[in-house]
Amino acid sequence: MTDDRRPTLGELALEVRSKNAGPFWVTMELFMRTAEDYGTVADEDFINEQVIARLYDLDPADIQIFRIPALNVVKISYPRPVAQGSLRDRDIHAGQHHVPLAALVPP
Amino acid sequence: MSTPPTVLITTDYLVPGDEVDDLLRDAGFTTRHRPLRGTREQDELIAILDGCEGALIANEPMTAEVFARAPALRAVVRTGVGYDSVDVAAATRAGVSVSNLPGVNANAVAEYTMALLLAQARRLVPVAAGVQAGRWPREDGHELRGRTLGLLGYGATARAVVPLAQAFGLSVRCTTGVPEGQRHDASVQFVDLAELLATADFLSLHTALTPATRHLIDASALARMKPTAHLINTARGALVDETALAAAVRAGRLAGAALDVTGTEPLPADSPLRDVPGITVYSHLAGQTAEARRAAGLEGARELVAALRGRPRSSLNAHTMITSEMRPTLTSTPATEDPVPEETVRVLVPSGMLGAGFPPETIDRGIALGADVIAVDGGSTDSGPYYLGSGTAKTSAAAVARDLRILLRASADAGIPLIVGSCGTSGTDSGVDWVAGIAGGILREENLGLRVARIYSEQTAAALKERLNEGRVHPLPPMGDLDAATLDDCTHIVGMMGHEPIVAALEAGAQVVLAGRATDTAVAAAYPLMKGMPAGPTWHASKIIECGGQCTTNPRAGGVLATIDQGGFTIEPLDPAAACTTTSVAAHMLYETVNPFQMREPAGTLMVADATYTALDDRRVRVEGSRFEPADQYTIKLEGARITGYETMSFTAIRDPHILPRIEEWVALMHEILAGRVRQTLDLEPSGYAVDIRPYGYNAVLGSIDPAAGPPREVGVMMLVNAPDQATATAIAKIANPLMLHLPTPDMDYLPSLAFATSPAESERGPAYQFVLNHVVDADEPTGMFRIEIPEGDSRD
Repeated sequence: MTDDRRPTLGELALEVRSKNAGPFWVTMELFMRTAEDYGTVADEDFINEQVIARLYDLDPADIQIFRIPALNVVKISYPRPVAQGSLRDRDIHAGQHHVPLAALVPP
Repeated sequence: MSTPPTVLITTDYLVPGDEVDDLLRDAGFTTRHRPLRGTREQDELIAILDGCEGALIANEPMTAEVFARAPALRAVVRTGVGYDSVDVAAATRAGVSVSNLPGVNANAVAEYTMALLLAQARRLVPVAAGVQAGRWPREDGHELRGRTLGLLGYGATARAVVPLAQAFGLSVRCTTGVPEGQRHDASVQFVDLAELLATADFLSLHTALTPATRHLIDASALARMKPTAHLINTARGALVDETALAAAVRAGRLAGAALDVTGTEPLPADSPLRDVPGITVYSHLAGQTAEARRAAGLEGARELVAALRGRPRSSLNAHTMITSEMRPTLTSTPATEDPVPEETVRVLVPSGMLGAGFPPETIDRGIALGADVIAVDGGSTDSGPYYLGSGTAKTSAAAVARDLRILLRASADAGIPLIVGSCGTSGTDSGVDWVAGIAGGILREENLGLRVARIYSEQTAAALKERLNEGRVHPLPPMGDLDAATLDDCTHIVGMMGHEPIVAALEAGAQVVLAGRATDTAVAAAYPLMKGMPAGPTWHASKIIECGGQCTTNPRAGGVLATIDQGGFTIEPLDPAAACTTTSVAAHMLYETVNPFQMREPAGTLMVADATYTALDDRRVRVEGSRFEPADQYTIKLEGARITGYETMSFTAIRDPHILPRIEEWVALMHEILAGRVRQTLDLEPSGYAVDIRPYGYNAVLGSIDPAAGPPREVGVMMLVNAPDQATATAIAKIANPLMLHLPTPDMDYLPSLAFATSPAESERGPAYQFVLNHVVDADEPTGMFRIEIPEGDSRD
């Protein structure tokens, strides 16, 4: 039996993580293993504000994306959809917000 | 000229007339060879050190007394990797540089490790002994191919073992504190210690001996290993509880062990390891090849010469030696390289948060490295608005006292300031007083005469409303303009101070500064800025070190030391076994920041896009090119929290396979029926309270953005009720109680009974809070919004 399913970002990356950046922002980082994989995720046709907005149900204008080739990192920051610690906040440190991003499958 | 200075050589394979001897004599030294064979009495060591300025040493204990009684001694070099035999702190106090030679024998030890693996698997030693005794052993052995080698540690030696082991067909697993981002060998499977112990056919130790690793392999660790497994130790004997090991092998709970090192060497006659079938003890020879000895001898001699000339390259305590005015560096021959580094300030950060804990020896080491100030953050908003809202601390008093006691002692002993920022988690006035109370108790108990300053950062709604009316309060994204009523709603409001109030307290004579809310970086930046260090490197260094060891390859090993100078800064971990790499340092600018290239401070913006990161060696990183752009307007950022209501929580669990595929319908029905019952019972509409129902195990964490689908196996249902007062919240949760126990899905014609986790199912959470301020105030001057209190005299009373 062969598994010809293409790897997700989570499988491809060294680490995909998310965390609060202060009480009002979430920031996520994709740490890629190689310059080639970095090139894949840094490609604006693959990850851009519209893609993240669809994935996270956000306004694309609120999203900031930083591409850092020296570290093979793509960093994405956006306003916290729910205020930290409020009744509807189910992830106080925003430590699990990376999961939808990590599930993306690169082309 | 006077007689040439003498150096002692105790490493047993170094002999008069060899190339190491030639090198030292050519460098202008007289050599004295006194090889260590077995053990040596301390008095004898002190006697043979008499008059020596330097020493190339084996592993004899270099104790505080030895250093105290060898007044001529200025540099010691261990001709090996481990230096647990040397009291580095005592050496530093005595003004002696201590160096080791990391990695010098990695290949030798790796090859020996393979030899021990093969010897264990094929029983070479007992077989040869049997033939020698006239027998002809015929028992079979095992092959390495297909088996699992567990490496404890991922330093130079362990990494050298990996390709050799893989060539034999072993699969390699490793347990290490090196974080995932730094593990570059995809062929090695990194696992936790429990898994390593449970799965290794051969467990090989390659970690340093520290208080934390002493007897790491004890009876309970051995009990978790396979009974067919072998233990291999080429690192340090005291990593293993030898009595427990002997018992485990004798009882057949472990197949055997090959030990190149033991707790006491040579092996004592009454060692429990003697005469245990399956355990073979060797005489600490793993690193001893002609090649490694030659390298260790020559590198050691070169290092000794360099250290005696004031330019050691791998010194464990070099910085103190270079800058110490108490004991100026002597040069036996004129130094040929550039003299004396520029003026520097060294900041020791023990951990990311006061109360988080750190190994106490890391503080000794930071002091030995010449720390000029100890800085530690006492807070964060990261754990939520409760701590600011309630003015209470996240950390326990015991944890804060434990850390503070070590830091206060170090501060007093070394005569350097201690700065704690954001005291009590949120930096409220109550938080400052709480930490000050703990500190005062310690100062009395320890009889330390330190002056303690408190800096309060709480702001009143009334004062801020005046600023608001003046148009001097501005929102930060994503917030909108501030409504004055929001200020009144806050239970606590703090302003985040820059470095200036801390500097003011230090200049007024404080030795310990307990600050309210401060920027995470200001705590570390204050002292270097006060001493004239440039803003760019200072703020950048402060950002890198604010989380302690987070910028190293092993965040759990303790904190870091940043050395700031006019051209940049250098950063190194306090634990000699941990490392900073260009990646670990550069990546820290990503941590909990929105923008990794710019960071706003009250006085301006740190710009790091052009910074360069250079590895000075395998554990220190140099950073240059950081800039600080002063802002036109000095601003103080505000944080405030208000009560949103009072919460009561209820929790039940569902395993019924009929409900689980319909869990969303069940949640919707719960909301609908609960709203009706609350209306009937309490005459309360849904607008007067709030209910959040979280199906944990289904999509409670991510909700509608969860990428996965499909029915869960079981679901924990958390119901959180928020109401204007506690009694109402609890009344609603109690109304929900029978539903949390018996609610069916709409298609069911019977009432299920669900699984309450506790009795009672409800618990009251008290007031719930929300952060409501993300605004800055234009400040007239940096210290104006903060109150500094420094008592006369010290703070023991």
